[in-house]
Amino acid sequence: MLSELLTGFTTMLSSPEAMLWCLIGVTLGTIIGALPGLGPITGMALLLPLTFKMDQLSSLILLMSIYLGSMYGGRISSILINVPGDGGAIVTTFDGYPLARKGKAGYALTLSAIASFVGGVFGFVGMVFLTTILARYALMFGPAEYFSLILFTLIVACGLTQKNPLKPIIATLLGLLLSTIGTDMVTGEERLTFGFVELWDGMNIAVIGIGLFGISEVLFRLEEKATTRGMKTNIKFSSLFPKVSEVVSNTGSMIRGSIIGFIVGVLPGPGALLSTFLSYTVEKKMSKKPDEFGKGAPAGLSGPEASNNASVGGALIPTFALGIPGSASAAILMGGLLMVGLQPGPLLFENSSTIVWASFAGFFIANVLLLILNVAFVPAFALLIQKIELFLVPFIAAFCFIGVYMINYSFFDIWLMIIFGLVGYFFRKTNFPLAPFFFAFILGPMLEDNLRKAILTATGDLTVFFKSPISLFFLIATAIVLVLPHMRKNKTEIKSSSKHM
Amino acid sequence: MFVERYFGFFLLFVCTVFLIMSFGLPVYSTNLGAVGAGLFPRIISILLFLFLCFHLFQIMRLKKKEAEEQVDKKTRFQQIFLIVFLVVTIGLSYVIGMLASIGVFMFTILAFVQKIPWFKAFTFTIVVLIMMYVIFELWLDSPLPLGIFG
Repeated sequence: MLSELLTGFTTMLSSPEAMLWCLIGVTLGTIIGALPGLGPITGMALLLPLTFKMDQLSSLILLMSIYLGSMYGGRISSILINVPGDGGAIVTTFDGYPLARKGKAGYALTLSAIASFVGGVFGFVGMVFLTTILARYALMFGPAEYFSLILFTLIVACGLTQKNPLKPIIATLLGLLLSTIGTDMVTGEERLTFGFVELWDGMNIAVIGIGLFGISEVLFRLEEKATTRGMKTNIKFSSLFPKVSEVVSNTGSMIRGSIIGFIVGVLPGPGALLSTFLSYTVEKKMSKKPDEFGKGAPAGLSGPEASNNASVGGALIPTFALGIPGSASAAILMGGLLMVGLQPGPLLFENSSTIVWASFAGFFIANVLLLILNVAFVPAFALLIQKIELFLVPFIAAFCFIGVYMINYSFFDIWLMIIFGLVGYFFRKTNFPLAPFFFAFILGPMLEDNLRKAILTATGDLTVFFKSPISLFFLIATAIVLVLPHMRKNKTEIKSSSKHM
Repeated sequence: MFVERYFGFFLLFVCTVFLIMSFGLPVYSTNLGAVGAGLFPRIISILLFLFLCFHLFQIMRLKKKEAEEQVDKKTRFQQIFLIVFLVVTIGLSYVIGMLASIGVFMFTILAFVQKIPWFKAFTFTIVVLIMMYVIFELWLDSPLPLGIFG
């Protein structure tokens, strides 16, 4: 295996054309990822025609570099202007943007770039060594297992275990309810669309995300004093980069995030989005200061970022080994593979071994290039945000406007964005948490779909969720997570009352 | 408290609409022998309705009025102006095209809301428009509405 990888590196490094496409891919990917609404899927889909005239290796490298680059790029707009570039970068807004508001935009960008690199390298190592083994385990996840996993993520991530969970519960339920809008995938019935044809496919995640975070941010910015605008503008050069000790202190969260991202990435379906939420949840649970999450906790940034990029390596495993894409982006990559005459599946390693191992090597090189590019441009980004601070309100609004239109070329989406911008504004005004709402909106369709599939395949037998060991494990974990804080609370109350006595 | 109360009632209204609509959907799909399209929305909307009622009950019970962060009239006007102008920009896009209408939007907000000198506002708008033109029209080859320029 190692000798094949070494040959892959030799092939890659001795091909100037492939190296050039790798550089172009990571640059384009970063730019595409940073644009609101445009993620890896759109990026790869738009640039797919470019690969038609290339050789197999170059086209594969270009697509993989765009995929990885957009994962890096998505975090830039999340941190700087609170507008997620794509779904996987949503969690980055939770702590990345508050850090930027504290004058630590450069710090947040560098830390997230390092975390992305760690995640990317973890994904690479996993991809090289575990391709065949993990692909087998991924197939053990059926609808019941997915349902339990998503339920666990929802319960933990939505803060339902907090002292006063009423508002998170309402936000979660509202997110779940709105996620049901659209054509029912099982029966084909139109539901809760109010007669709008545009709602048949449901509401787009990016549209809602840009409205909730971007437009509400614009409205909030207007409320802040003209002199400060809420963001520190006096940024010292030294504050642009985290200290070595700060990076070291985040190593744990990066490794945890990488493991989560890689494993979830391998599972066909949920991909980067679920992995970032899961990683955020784990970091919040493990933190000694969970209250700092959402206010600029470095672990809330580094964990999900590592997980986001590790999921790329994970998602490529079933794509290469089984011919089953691990995510929508991987599906487009698979389309690219097929178009250049490569047949993904177990025989790929036998028939096109050189190209596959060279592309694995290219994946690692792309990660290194992205780290260099992203860290090198941190001062430029920080300076830019400092200079255009006063111009940000219409700038964000304009980019949200065009970004949302670009998703489906629909003005209806812009209306939705404005409505959800107002909803987001009032959520923030009344202290309703936005994150649980959005978590639930994204995970809702997966939750319902897997619930129904599980019941359907078990011919109505609800015990299906308890029969599977994996599903049972997640259900027990969910129950523990729900019960534990209350037990702790009771214990504390008993202790304090006994002291008084 | 004032905003919270009204927003709570707004959410309750939305939830009630969804709840009523969910009753029009089948809970079981007899043809496919599976769970119907209405089960999930109905369960969720019933739960949401109950929690919202409890939330509103809690708010109404609070006798003391908590100090609410006040937004001055000028800022409120600016916020409303921005939202209204975004809506106007949608309409304008059909007439003068998307890029031009975004240009009008940006310049208006910069000059009249942000009170940035006209020349600076104009220059920034032009730079952003060129950037958008290069990215969306030339590079990504996206069919942006052109209006009368089409």
